[in-house]
Amino acid sequence: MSTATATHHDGHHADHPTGIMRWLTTTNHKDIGTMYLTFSLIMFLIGGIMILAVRAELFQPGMQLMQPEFFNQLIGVHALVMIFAALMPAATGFANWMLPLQLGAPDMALPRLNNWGFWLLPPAAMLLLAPFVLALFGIGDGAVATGWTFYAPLSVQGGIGTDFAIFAVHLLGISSVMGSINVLVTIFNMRAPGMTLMKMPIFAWGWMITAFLLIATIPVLAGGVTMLLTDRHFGTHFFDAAGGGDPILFQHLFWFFGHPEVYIVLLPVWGLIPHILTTFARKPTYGYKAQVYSFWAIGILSVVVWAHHFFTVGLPTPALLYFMYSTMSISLPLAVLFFCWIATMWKGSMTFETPMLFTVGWIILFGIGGLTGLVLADVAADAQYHHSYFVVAHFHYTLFAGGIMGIMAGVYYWLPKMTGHMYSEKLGKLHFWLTAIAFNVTFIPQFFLGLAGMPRRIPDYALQFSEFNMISTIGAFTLGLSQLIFVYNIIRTVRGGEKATDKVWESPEGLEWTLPSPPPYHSFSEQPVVK
Amino acid sequence: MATSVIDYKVVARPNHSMSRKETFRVVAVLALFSLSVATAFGLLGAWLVFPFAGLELLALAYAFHFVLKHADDYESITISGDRLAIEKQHHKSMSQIVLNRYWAQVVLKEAPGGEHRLWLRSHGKEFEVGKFMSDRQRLVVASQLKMRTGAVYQGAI
Amino acid sequence: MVFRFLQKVGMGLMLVLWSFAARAEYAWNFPTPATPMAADTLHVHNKFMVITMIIFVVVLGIMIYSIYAHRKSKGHQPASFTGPGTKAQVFWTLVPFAILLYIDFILMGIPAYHSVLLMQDTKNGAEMVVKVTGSQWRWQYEYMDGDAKGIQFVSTLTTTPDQIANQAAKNEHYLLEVDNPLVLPVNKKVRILLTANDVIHTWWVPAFGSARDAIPGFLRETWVQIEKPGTYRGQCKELCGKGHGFMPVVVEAKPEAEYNIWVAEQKAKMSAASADAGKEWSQEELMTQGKAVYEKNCAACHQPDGKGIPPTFPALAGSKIINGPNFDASGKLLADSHVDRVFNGKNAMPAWKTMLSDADIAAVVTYERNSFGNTMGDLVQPSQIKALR
Repeated sequence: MSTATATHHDGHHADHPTGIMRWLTTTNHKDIGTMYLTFSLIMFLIGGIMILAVRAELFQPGMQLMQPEFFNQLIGVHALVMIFAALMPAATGFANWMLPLQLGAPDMALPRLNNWGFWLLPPAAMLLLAPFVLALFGIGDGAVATGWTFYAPLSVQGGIGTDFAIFAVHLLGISSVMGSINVLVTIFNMRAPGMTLMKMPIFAWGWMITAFLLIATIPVLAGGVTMLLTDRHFGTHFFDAAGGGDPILFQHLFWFFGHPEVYIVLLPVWGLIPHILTTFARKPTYGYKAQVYSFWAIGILSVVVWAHHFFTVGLPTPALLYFMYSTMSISLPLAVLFFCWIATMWKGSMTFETPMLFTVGWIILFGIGGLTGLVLADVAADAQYHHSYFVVAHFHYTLFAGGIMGIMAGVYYWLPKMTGHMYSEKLGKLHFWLTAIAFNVTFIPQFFLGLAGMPRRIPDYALQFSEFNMISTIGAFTLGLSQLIFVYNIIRTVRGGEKATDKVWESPEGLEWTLPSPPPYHSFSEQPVVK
Repeated sequence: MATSVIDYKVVARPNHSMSRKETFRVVAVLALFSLSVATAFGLLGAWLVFPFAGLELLALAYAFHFVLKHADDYESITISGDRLAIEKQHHKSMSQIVLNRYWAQVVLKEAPGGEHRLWLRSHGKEFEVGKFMSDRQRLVVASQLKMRTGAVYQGAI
Repeated sequence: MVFRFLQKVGMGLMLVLWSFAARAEYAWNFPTPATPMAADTLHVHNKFMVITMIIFVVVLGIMIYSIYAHRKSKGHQPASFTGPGTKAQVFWTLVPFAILLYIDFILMGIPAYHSVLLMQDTKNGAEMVVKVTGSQWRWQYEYMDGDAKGIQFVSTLTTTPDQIANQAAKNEHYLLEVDNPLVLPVNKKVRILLTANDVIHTWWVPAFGSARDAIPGFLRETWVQIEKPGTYRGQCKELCGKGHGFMPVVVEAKPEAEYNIWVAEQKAKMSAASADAGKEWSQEELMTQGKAVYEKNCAACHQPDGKGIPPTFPALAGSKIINGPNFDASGKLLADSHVDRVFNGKNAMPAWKTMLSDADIAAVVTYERNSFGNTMGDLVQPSQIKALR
């Protein structure tokens, strides 16, 4: 009827922001989710370019392209960017987009907090990257050059890049905590009537444990880097033996956060994998409860095993034994998860669209990451693996294969729902195969490099490591370039293409598939009831 | 005027799947864990973990407190006879606006991004409704209200 | 046992890989162990690798079978189970779990326990003690007891900058060569004490199977017992700044007789050096010696042309400190003077008193005061440095 819509208001109330202001002020979970995912993709490319520069330098022995200082800056900032600005925001982006849809809520519980949480990220990323630019103008000596671990006293020695990174970490921490609080409140308080915790989609469970872990560990990181800052500038001696401090205390603080961080990044992925498996195996999730309990077990274990990251500092024997056995025990719940994933596929009726391909590749490669992690738990052998390229290969199997490839599976899985268009299956499959193969070409040689005795974070290496480094660099460039297909495919899908149906896939499970694709700006018209 | 007969009523509330007790339990568990970690590190000399843990827990507690505070919020639109009443419960304050059904106009505007906002207008004054509704709910309510107010109502008589 | 068999198969596989390694010049596994610890580590590693490979292949096999058999294109109808149905199924789901428990805590857990004890046992039967000090970016070695007591020296990379910059052909042991390797006798258990001057370093020789951090202000320890004479090479493996890739560890293991000869030589050199410190040096001698010391120890940061990399590494050319006096009228060392800075260090500048001889310090100070456009013209004599100790 005409009475309603054809009104000409002088706009006292209708102050809808447009353009950039819309994005700055939006409190809509889908807008914010989109911003998180876009930010993550951009940072993924930036972090990738950094490491390609590193791999180019390592293509041959000798220093070709850069000075060792710059090399050290690149590796550290690459890690910080990839972990804090690519992986974590991608997971948060999915949480924003999908949790309200999956839980049957109109939006996240605290929309304004959600907006602030996102808008802390770009300044944080700028703080991380700014020292590179400042150095060009002769201000400071570049970005943080301590690796992402900030080990004192090296970080106490460093230039202004370290201070920038400390503040960046603070902002990223605050952002993560805001995101976590929002996720927790949403999960606990906004579920549709009838959806008990044990009926929640498993993605929500993964995110809930992630949020718990973030809230439990971020203050420790924040405290640690703040102590670093006061050691650097305010004359404290937390990490200085000469003043009664202890450099190892920093490692305890860092890894008390750093180890759970691994699971913070992985749990949302473990949450989304079962959704993809059940969709493409056309079979319900196997062992829902077992998976949820495993999440809990891993979450709890993850905060009591941190010292396995620094076995070589000379911990007392009982501590070594404790951290070794507790670390090994993580393999048990993880094995349950692997069992459940494969059992979900077992006797299904599988098809292999891109998300499923990524998921299967993910299970295999993440499996390698997990198994090498089991080996690393052995204290005596760890003396050899530690800080060698073996470890570099190991954690790329968990964080690139186990993290990023899982996220990519999620992107292909939910992109049609988010945009209302189907992505190009052909390009998606090409992207998968190139990624999976190039990834292995990059990192399998690194296992052997580590065994042969190449330490990580060295800008130049002895001649016996030449061949493997060369192969690894070739792999890395292929891997990097293949991601352009991914970017192109996403842009193409956002801009148009074949219409996606509401269900998108043949038989997906979950409330998000009951909505139109793309879902309306505010999601559930009728309150869904979960039986 | 037959004020006793309710012609139309819609109540919108945000969903609340957690009780006060559960909220308390979640916050308590997190606080207990976070504070004991902070204490342990404090004893090792890293007392600076403490203020961060404290601040974070305050934020967490406030967030849960905030949603609990608004647990009873609702918005209702009631049409009975010539009266159109809008009731809004916000935390502890309750406001009621009564419009004349005859004069009430439904105003629906689209915001960028496709979201719609809904107002009821009468005598040059506008009252926004539908805060707890999703977009599609607002559209449905708007069309239902349109059939029951203003000119249409007049025409129906 | 089945396991023994599988282990043999795995070892066979390893052997095949080894034969590859023999043909190519690069390795596929840990280097040949030279100490009991390394032998133990290699054994543990191989065993673990075989176990994980078996797990991987079995799990992957099941998955690949499922991918092959249970696909829609073959018309497989989906089942609908969500968990183990019968008691037998429950039992079979618990089997992998039990196997993993067994692997974690018995098959691997028990040997790992003994390895940890072996690794940590630095004192029992140790016949000599060597102290290793890491500093940016060189290692210092000091013999703590026995005949060799008192021998100490600094071990610095000898690969030349033009090799690193690809302007000269690279040596065979590019980046893994030093001027003064640590010399140890074979078949003696050596207790190694570790510490650092500035930041954390890790002393690592892959063939020894033991790596331990050198932490500033703390003493850590490890041990080696080298079984075969030879030269063993390794590197620092804790990121320690820009020279992290350029501080190799080289250990020469000598049979006891040769080792004793070496000790005697070092002792003779030490007494010669202390005689040197007593004598009056000419400007020419100081400048020649100083240039050599500078290029070896200082040029990495302050650059060969003395221009430094400000702000972290200040320029020496035209430096206020260098162009100021060292001693006051009564011959007392001035605070923040050139000699003071070199001798005692400050912030990133190491205290060279522990790393260089009196003659070296005197020479390098003299050299810096009369090079890069600095024209102080004065000489610093080794005896003046000796007086500061």
